[in-house]
Amino acid sequence: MDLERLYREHVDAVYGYLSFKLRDSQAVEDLVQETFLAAHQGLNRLHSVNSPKAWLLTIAHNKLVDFLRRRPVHLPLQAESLAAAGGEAANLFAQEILEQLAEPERTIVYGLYVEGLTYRELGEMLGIPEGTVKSKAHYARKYLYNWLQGGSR
Amino acid sequence: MTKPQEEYMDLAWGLLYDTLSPEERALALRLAASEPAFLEALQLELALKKELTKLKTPIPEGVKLRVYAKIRGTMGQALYRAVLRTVLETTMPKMLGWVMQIFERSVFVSE
Repeated sequence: MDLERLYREHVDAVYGYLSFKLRDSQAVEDLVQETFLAAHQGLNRLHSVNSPKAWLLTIAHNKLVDFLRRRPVHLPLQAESLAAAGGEAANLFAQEILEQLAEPERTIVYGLYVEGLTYRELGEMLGIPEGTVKSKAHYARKYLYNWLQGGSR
Repeated sequence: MTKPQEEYMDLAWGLLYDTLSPEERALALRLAASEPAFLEALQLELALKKELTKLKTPIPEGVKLRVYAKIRGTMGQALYRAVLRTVLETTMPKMLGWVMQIFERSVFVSE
């Protein structure tokens, strides 16, 4: 797979994840660029990965961590982030769902439901053991199940 | 309601995101038809999927094109530098290596 195809097929996922984590649109744009440049440099490793999307999101996450180390900023709640980006009213309930959670559960739930990443892929992406992702996902789900059934909507 | 078991959560999620093996898929479908706790987990997973996929944020077309142009530009610059370095290294006398270093500093680093 060449860079153009990789970009065409997965730029939405990378952009979506970075926009979910940061409200700074210029920083998001720069990080998307850095992610794909890094991917291009490591393109020979692509044949050994199961999911190019998960591989790119791992690179994007690492770029984000580096960026925040260089320039610590407040990580907004999803609602703030989307409101800043002009999020639609239809997304308000989805934002409310994620606001029920702290990190890293929020990112895990985002990865599971928005991008369809597996526990293993999320573990690689976030640099934590698969078992930890699984237990945090179970905790988050139980919380969200109760919340959904509690008629909070 | 009884709290859905954790295996049911994973199985229901796997069914919705198509990550199950054929055996797991058969089990999930069997449970959906016969096990109320699994059906409940499936309904809750479906509700979460339906709501949360609304958070997908596609990159605006203008940004998509601009970022790709920047990526290509950066890659082109890197290629140009590598080619220029090779050409200069093979064509210039060794003693002029320091000239190249100054050239690189002034042209590339401060650009």
